[in-house]
Amino acid sequence: MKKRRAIIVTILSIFVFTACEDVIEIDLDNIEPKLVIEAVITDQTLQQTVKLTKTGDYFEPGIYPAVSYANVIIRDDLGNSENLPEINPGVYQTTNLQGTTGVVYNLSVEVEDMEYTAVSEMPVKVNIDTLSTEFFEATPRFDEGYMVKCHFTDPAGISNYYRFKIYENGILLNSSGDFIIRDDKIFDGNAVQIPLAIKTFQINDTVAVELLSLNKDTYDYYNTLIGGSSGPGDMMSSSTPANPVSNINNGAMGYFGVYTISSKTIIIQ
Amino acid sequence: MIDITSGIEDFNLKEDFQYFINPKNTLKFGFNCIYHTFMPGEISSDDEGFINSKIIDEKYAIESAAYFSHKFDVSNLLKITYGLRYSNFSVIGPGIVYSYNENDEIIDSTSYNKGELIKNYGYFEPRISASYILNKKSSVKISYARNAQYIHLLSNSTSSTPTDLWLPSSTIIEPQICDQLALGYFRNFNNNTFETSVEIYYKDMQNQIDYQNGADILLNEKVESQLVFGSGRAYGIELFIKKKTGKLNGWIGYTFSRTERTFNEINEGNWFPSKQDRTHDVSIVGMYSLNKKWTLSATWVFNTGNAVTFPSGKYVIDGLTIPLYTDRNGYRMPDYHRLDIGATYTNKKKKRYESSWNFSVYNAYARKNAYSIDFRENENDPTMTEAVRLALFQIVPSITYNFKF
Repeated sequence: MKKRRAIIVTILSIFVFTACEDVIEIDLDNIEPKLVIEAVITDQTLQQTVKLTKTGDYFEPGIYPAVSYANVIIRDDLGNSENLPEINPGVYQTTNLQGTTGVVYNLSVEVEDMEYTAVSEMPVKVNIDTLSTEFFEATPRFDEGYMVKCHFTDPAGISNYYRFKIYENGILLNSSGDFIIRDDKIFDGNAVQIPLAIKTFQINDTVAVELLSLNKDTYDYYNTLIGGSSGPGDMMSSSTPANPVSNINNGAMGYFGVYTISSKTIIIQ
Repeated sequence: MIDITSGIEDFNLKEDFQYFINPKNTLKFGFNCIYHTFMPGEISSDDEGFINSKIIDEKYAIESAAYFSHKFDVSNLLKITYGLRYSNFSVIGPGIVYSYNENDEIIDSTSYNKGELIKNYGYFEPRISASYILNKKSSVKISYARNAQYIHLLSNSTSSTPTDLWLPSSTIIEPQICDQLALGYFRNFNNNTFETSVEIYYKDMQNQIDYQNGADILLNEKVESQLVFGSGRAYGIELFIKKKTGKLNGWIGYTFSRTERTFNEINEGNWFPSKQDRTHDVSIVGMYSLNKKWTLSATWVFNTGNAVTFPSGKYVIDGLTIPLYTDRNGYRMPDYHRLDIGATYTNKKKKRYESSWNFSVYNAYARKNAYSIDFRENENDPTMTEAVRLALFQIVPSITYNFKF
């Protein structure tokens, strides 16, 4: 038997590749608002702040009700304790508490017949040695300009975790793409220079950098926070959407962060 | 530009034999052997200095299997096929194997040389099916099969970057074991003009894998520390009707099915739909011979959208709007449906060759099926958040010339 061969020729395929983006309506569940705790202790102030709010529905305007009349207490493992008065709706503040390396802090929030607690230890403080700049040609991602590098010396033999906050002419760069966190796995014990690769700056810009020394819990929270939010972090982590890994118990959102801050400022020249 | 790639490369050696003992007995046996190379990921960037190019070590494995099956016609009415397959999966070096504690930290690592055996799995896979002819028009069929699957498909559940990843079994990931039981009833009508069937099935699946909450997976050499392990089940009913003859022919198929999984660490251990759960699946295919030259065709498909994780609420941390998630895969992508139409013009048959023209339109009513849905802040009003759909291939007309010789 003679074999038949087939040739298929697509003469013309008017490929109307109109990839189209549009805003659509999606039905999302209305959920019982959850408590959100944003509690931070740093080594920079005596007035440490705890903010209490509630979550809102996703497609509603971003109005997050303040949670008042809560009983907020911070204790440390040296036997000190402070009851935080509510200075503004949902904002509770200490009057005399400065974060100290090696001290373990306990947060307790009692509200609506529930108690939420968290424990966090102040890590070793790492200071910025200096800031430098490097000129870059324009790339698809950045304009031509100067990138700021942060120099510091990582303490050897312990795990260190960092976050960088960058202020451009006094304004914090604060979108999810501006979130820079690092651990020291690949540079433990080294003098390092970390390029703050979120933006290039121009001559005469004033750039302030804060180096936050985090403990592992706070680092994990930030790491899963930007991974789960709808920012560019999502693309790179490419995993599964989930709430950030929090150190607060009983299902509250938010975190109890305890960190040191070292800052330096540079004027681009 | 950032390029991210991952893939599998296989060399496959395969041999099958058939032995007709007598008209009532056929024996089949064979073996195959596959050499797998897994390339978990490579990231390369020409955006110098900002992203380090990174390659995750390749992994190697040999998958081999031998089987036999016996087709045995007990009588004219009862036919039985049974068999046994033995499959083996060897993870081989070079490679470094890590072990982790419950905080996903590496506690130990072992290095293996090229060709050295790291881990070996072997399973017997029995299978049996029987069909029985009830009468001239109808028959029933029942089957059971066990399958060992050594390569896992890991799907993320985000709607914004749908990604599938293939992961081989390893010291930590155990092979999937699947037991399937199926039952079918087949019946013809109108002198075999119509063929119909009803089939039901149930599958039990062991050693399922999924991402743990907050998993960081892409280009992570510790990917195995980001997984959770559980079990799965699938069940469904398939209805099918086919018209085989006449000017108008075609078929209609409908499947109701669920594919569910459970993990202690996800959704409080409750069963939840996997991404592949389609619930309702319909396909309608029709062909109409207008005359000797023209044939018209139309296909309509519908399925329930994939199970995905959408945010239910939101809140603010550090000045950023953060989505609040409730259940893994608690939502659905919009339903997928599409109509394709076509017309074929067959040229007069020549002695040496035949040819035809095909005119078709893909997605004829330009349904905007969602490839992805992104949740983001509104550009003009950052207090508002919105869902943005990306749709591909809205309407694609094409002309094809077929030539046979």
